[in-house]
Amino acid sequence: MAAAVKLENVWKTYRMGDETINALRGASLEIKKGEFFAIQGPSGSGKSTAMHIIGALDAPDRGSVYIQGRNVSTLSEDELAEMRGKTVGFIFQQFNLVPTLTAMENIMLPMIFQGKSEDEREKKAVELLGEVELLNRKGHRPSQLSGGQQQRVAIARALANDPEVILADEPTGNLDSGTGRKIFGMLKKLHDKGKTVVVITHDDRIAGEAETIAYIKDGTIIKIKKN
Amino acid sequence: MQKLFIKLKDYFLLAVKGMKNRKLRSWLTMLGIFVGIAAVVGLISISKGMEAAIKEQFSTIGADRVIVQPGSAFFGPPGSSSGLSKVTQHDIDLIKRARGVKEAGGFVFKTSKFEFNGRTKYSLGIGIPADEESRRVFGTRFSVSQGREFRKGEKKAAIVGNSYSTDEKLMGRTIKPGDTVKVEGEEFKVVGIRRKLGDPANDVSVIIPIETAWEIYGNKDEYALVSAEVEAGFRPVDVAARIKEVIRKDRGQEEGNEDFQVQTSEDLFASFTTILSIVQAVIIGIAAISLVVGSIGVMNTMYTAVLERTREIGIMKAVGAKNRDVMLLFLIESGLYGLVGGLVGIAFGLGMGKMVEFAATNFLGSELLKASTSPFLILGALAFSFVLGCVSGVAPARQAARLNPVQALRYE
Repeated sequence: MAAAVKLENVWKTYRMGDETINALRGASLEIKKGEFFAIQGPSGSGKSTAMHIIGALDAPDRGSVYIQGRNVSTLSEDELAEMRGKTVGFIFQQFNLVPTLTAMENIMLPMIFQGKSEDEREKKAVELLGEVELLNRKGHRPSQLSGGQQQRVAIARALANDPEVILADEPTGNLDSGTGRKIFGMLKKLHDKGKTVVVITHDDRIAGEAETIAYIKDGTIIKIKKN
Repeated sequence: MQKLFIKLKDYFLLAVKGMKNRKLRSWLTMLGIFVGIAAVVGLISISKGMEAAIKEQFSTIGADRVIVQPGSAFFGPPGSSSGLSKVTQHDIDLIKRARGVKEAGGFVFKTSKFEFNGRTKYSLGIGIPADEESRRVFGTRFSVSQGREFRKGEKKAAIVGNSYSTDEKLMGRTIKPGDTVKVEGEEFKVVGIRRKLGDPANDVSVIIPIETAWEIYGNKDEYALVSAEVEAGFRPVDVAARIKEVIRKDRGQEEGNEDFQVQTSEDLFASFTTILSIVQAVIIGIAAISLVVGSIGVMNTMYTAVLERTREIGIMKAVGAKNRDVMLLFLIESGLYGLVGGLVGIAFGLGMGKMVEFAATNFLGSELLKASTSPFLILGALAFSFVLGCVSGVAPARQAARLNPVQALRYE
């Protein structure tokens, strides 16, 4: 099976004030198309940085990243944005909805940047709201929604442009276990429909349900396990 | 192209949302632009109106006139005969003989004690030739709207300013032809009512025959202003130069040291408009300062917005916004601050102009202060305020566009 995402010996260094943080130190992994992939590691292990690079939010300092077979490390900022908009859908731990926009508008936002027509956007947003069972909340702002509802809006937003890859960074981290399970169920359903789903987590139970788990520590992949 | 259009519309809506969410701050920001634009629009509208009114006043004198006044250009204002320099009948005869002059005539004026119905008022007294031929050069300036003009040889007849015939508050009751008035203590019979001119001084003036005026003012054979009508086919400038030369030679004066002035009515009009445009430039300069302050306000608000919405910018970039999308979004927002501020400012400025016009007509009796509203002024001000807003937003919008998405998403 072809690779949806491939990291080859990726290095990434951050500067946080005076400190230099080696977030990734020669990380390599391969995520196959349609795979349910988990990246597990303790906090500070570099898993968030890995997600940023897998999702084309950031470029590596060294090494190569391939998304859909394209070498991302050589792309310009705008080309990266284009890549994110078309092929990647992000789901964050903090939901990251735009507070001033309604649920419906948040879902339509990625489509605006792709220049899709209003009719097309509305049709798609309504469809997605139905899928995450929030049609009755479409005019609500994030502050009027519960955490679980917000995360469902975020899932719908991630799907707005029909991306190949869904990237979820601790998607259940801010939710109670019941709601978390429901969200996780939705991600699994996406996988069943053929999406490549990548979940970053420190939770053994969530990781345990993935087809492949990559364990990350101190910026390197220490183990890859197939379930 | 079509995609860009859809995007622009959506960015516009997003920007409006951003502004609505911070209503108070948005209004305060726009206030800065608004004050400046209101000042510019209001003042330009008034000064344009004034220019038009002055033009109208000059049209009553006539465009093809050469005007001769006593006094040098360097000592004292024109018309203020210091006793040393005079323009007399002798000069009028010289002027009449100059080539290109069809007719010439002069008048005098002085603030005079005016009495009627037991009330006294100090108003502009004007002495004009009683014979129609010498009067013709003044065009419609001294014409009557009621009654008749002076007849040749008439001594104790008066024509009163238009306001006396309409405003009974002036002298207790209105003045009609046939009434008797006193000028400097002498009795005159009102024969006519002067045409309405729109400026208060002339509308409450009193006109008497020049011979009588010389007697009561005690300045025999002096003219405050002589107007010469230029014959068709001659240029007023050339005729003016010839008249100047003739009088200078007659007086034995050197060029540049004359004690009289010769101007064409066009020159006179031009000198008024020059003064007006200087005033305009000063006003616009002051308004420009307030616009600079306003644009700094927009810049400040936009920097704050970028800071506040750092995380939002990160989200937008994560879902596919390019740098130029973010830039455009913020530029539209700052442009809107300018545009809306400008709109309110224009409305206010035009209102201000109309208020000045209203006050001038109703309380000062002057119709010289008129507000002129041209579509050019409105559209120009609108475009300018939008561009100003955009320009103020360039630096903040660039900062927003260049944010690193990962760091922006981490921003708390």
